[in-house]
Amino acid sequence: MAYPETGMDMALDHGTQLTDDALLALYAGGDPLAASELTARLAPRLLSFANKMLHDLTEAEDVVQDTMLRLWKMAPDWVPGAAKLSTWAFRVASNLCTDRLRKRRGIGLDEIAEPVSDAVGAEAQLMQDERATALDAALQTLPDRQRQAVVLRHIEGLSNPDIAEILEISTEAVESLTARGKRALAATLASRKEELGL
Amino acid sequence: MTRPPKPDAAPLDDAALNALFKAGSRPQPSAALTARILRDAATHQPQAAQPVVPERGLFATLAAVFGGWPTLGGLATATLAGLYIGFAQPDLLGQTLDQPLDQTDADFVLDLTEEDALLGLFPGDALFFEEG
Repeated sequence: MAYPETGMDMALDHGTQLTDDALLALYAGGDPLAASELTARLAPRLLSFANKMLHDLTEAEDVVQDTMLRLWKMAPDWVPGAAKLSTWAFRVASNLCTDRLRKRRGIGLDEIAEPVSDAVGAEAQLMQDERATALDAALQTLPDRQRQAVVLRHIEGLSNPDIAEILEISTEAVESLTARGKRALAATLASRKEELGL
Repeated sequence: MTRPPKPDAAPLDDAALNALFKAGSRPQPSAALTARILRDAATHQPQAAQPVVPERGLFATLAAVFGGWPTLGGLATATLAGLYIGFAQPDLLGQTLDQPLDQTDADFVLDLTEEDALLGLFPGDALFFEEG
């Protein structure tokens, strides 16, 4: 799902027409409302990404808070136009997720959790929920880099160049990661095609 | 007529994968998470620059005491006018108030008095008689 990019037009008041850069500058200048707007824009996307990476909402929330904390701290030094703020935030979140995944492996959690279809409750029988759950579970079977690339590309709707900047790899490498990731997902979920109405 | 799932089933096609991606769960930040984030933001937000209040000088203070620059300007004008009058013609002011008239001034006053008297005695064309 693609998110509407904020335009360069400046509005007279706080709102969706202000760019992320402009909002960050307002925050750095002491504006009390800019933080709320930036949080509303970035936190849901970061949480979605982190949750898919970590498959743990509590940990994902910690990653989002830490990412935003770093954003507040660097606000006075941010150079408008030098980079995309959302890209910067995803890169920080991505690195934080990677750190947490490495720590998990360090304590013997290399095994991927089983698909959580068993935990699907009565209210989660709707097809959309089934699909979302199956996707989340299948994503956990992917290597970290593939999972990052697939989520950023196909769920968060970022462009390949933006993902390349976030993961600090080439655009070609992003294309390769997403292609391999999709192939792996397609194979993993093949056996559930009927069940998921696909 | 649906087939049971098989381990060796054909992989999903792009359309099926896209349907899955579209259904991707998207948790929303809880109120507690938002509050934590905004609390951090408030803690680390640089302070807004305070407006600089210029220190008021002596003349500005005086102007404020007297009710502003227009009032002070009027007061200064009146003061200068008084000084000018006092320095430019102090003798005339003295004569008028408390000094005796000198001889020239007395003759002038006397002449005026005589003419007034003649005009009083011979009203109308009396003066034409004198000049013929």
